Amino acid sequence: MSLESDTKYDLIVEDLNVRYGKIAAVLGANLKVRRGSVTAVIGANGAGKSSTLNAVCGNLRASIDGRISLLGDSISGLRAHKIVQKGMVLVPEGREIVGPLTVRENLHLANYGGRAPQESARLIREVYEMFPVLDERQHTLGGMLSGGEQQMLAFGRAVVAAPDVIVMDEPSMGLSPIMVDFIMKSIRAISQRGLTILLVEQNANSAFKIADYVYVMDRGRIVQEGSAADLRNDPKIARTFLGIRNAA
Amino acid sequence: MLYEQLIINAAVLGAVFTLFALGLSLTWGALDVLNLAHGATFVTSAWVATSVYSAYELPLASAMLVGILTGGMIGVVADLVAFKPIRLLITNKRQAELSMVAATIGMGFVLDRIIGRATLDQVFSFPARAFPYKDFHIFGARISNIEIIILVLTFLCAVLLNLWISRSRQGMAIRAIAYSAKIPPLLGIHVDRMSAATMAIGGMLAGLSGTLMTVWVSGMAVSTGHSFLLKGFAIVVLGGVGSIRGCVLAAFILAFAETGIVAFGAGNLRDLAAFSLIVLILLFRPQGLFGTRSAMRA
Amino acid sequence: MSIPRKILLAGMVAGMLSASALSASAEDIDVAALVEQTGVVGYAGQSVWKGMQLAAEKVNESSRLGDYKLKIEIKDAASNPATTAALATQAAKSDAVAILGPALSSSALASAPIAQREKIPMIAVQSNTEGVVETGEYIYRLTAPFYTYNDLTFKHLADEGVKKVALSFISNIPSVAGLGKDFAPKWAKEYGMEIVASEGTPFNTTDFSTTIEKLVAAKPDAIGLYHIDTQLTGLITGLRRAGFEGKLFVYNINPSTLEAVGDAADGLLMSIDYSPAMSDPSSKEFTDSFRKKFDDDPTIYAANGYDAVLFLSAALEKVIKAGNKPDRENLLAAISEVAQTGFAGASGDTTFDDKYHRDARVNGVLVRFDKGKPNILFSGKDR
Repeated sequence: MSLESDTKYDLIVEDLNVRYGKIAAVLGANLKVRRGSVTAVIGANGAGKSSTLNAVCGNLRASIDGRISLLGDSISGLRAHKIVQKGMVLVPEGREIVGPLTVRENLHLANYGGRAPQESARLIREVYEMFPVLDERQHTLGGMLSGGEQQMLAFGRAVVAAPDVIVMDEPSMGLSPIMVDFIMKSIRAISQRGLTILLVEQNANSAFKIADYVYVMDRGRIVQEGSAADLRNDPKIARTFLGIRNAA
Repeated sequence: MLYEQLIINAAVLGAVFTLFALGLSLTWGALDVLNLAHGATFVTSAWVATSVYSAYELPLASAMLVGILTGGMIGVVADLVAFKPIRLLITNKRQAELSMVAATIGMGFVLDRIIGRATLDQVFSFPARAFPYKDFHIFGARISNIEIIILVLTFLCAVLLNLWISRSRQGMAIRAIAYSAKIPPLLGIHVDRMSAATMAIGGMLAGLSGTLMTVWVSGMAVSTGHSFLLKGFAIVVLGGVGSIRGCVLAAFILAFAETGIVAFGAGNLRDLAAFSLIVLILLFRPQGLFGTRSAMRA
Repeated sequence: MSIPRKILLAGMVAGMLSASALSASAEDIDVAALVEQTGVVGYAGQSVWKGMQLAAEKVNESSRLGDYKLKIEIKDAASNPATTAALATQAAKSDAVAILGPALSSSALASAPIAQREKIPMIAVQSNTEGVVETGEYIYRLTAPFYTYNDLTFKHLADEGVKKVALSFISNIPSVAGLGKDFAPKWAKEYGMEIVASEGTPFNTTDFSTTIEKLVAAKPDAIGLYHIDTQLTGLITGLRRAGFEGKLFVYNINPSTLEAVGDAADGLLMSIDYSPAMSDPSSKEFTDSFRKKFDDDPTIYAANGYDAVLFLSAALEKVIKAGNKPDRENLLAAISEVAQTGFAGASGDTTFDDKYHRDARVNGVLVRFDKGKPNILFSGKDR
């Protein structure tokens, strides 16, 4: 497969290999994320999903091989902050909110580092419209927010950076079922604003609810891919990931 | 002995300590690195200022500006040459911090020896005619124009630094870096650039206090840098690493303690007593007056 | 004369000529100079070395040492006692007949026992501390201790009608603290003056605003500043700015410091062992030839270095003129003899103490700095 500057795909990953010393975490992964879609990567714990995401976003210290292109430009080897400038933002696992900064400051900071620092007012207002509770708790320290509020803030940070692609690492991790539901709906809403989303989820059920396209990883390799609709009906997937025992 | 005079003396001393310690606190709080070359930066900036004043016959203010910029440059060089490669190569945070501190020790030593050689470890200063000293009298006590300048500049620097850290976007970025060096890159923040900028500011503060000190006591030597580094360290620890307010308060506490001991007790005990005070306070409040577990705050 | 006799005569003359030609080649007398060229006292040590070189040149140009030439090899004592001690050991094992230096007190204390044990004469300079010459008969010190001539200041002050004196001194350098705590009060009492304030300060202190307040508040007629140069700048300028118009006196001040304080040092008094303004013939000779060779005024350190070599050379001369080999033992005996009679050097007439006969004593002079230039008010000779 050659590097396509195909305008249908915002993010193209070819032959990604990630090695921690002698341990291979990702082997020859190939991913294509269509513009405007919600693409999910599912798989068991340790399948290499997080490593893939972090490697693609320049947020990993490991031996990384492969070709990664974002919006037609190669971003292989670029560091995280440069990739943000190129239009892709990572919402990391565990949210990683800057605790001593307030909600407002967290958003301003993300906007400052993003692609549209001069449009801070407009972008931040949009985030407040999406997540009114953040508006209410503008001056609360990030470290004082609940898990769900932190996740909202993490999304907000991504949005104010004015990216084309948002990558999310386990957004539902550690959240209550109600929150998970809300978060998934929020992801849909973000996607509807025209942003492309790539997410990794252990909670396959949730992932399937919002994803358009799904990749399945197992032991560092991508073992299956397809539209969410098709894969949902695959008996093996249903059994392994969706807990449906008696799939046809 | 006039109490008013003692207060003025202690205040000016506190201001000089503040300027020096602010730079140290900033880089320690923001970058998690104790810059042990800060004292050498202080002396080198002063030396450059006195040298260009004599060599090029610049006006005093310009020569001092050159000194201040030299301090900033030393900070940037330290960041580029020592910190950046260490940050890149050493993954273990603890190890990286230790290596960086060691690097600053090395840099400080090199600067010390360069200036020491150049000055033969003797006093250097601006010529006596360089600054027109003038005394003013308030409350029956004496304060000179240079002392007023020191007080005003320190106040401005502390306030501006405070505002910058707490309100500006770069200030937010620095506070974020102080909290965690992993998160800012994800937000698009160029950590290396911010680190260099922080070191530049720290260095410039060292340069400002060095040049002002040289004018105030009409002389500076390599050994003065050692003395200041030790006191600066104590002040930052006492005030709480990364806290600007704490730093200012601690600087004045030390200055007043020293002044009081010399005025009312034995002059030769001044260092002992001042540091004992610090140890005492830390016994009851190990994180320092305004310290918290981590991060920078105003 | 018959032909055989002529040939015999010619042969004898030729033989004598060639013999004298052989003995005309100079033999070197090796001397090890362990003098600080770097570090805390590098400034002083570099000056000491200049003085030593000047003296060595003079000695070798004259024929005082007969067929011998003085060869002084310098090693940097680096202001480090351990380094100096190692160099002393090295020197003791070499062909050197004597060790000159060091200047730093702690280095002198570290190397004197080695010189004593290895039985090599050592002539230290500066090294103002107790315990140096006390080490043993091989150890000499060419710099007179401060307390042997700093009373000159007090005599002058008394002559000027000063009644109240305030003192500020370094508390943690014994020789200087001794001046401030013991000797100065003694002298003040002798001359009928009162010590109205006495402040001790560590040597690394640079801020003196409060000390200055205390000194001025005591309303003295004169203030003594027994401090090192890094502290003198702040003290002198600070005192003048505080409005003190009385007399100021120090135990030493370097040219760079004088320059730094400018007018504030006008009228500054200093009792010192050597000054370029001294008019003793031996002093003037030193000052003039130093200026000629180095195009600069000599310091007290250069004077000490010069005198150390002069002293050593006087002893060597004795040994050689007596027809003895210039080895360490003969040299020590000669040194002891010269010490009994004294000699005239850069610091004028130099004798040695009454107890050990190994610690130099000079008259000293009282200097007053007017517009940065030293003026001799009077000499210790006229005490």
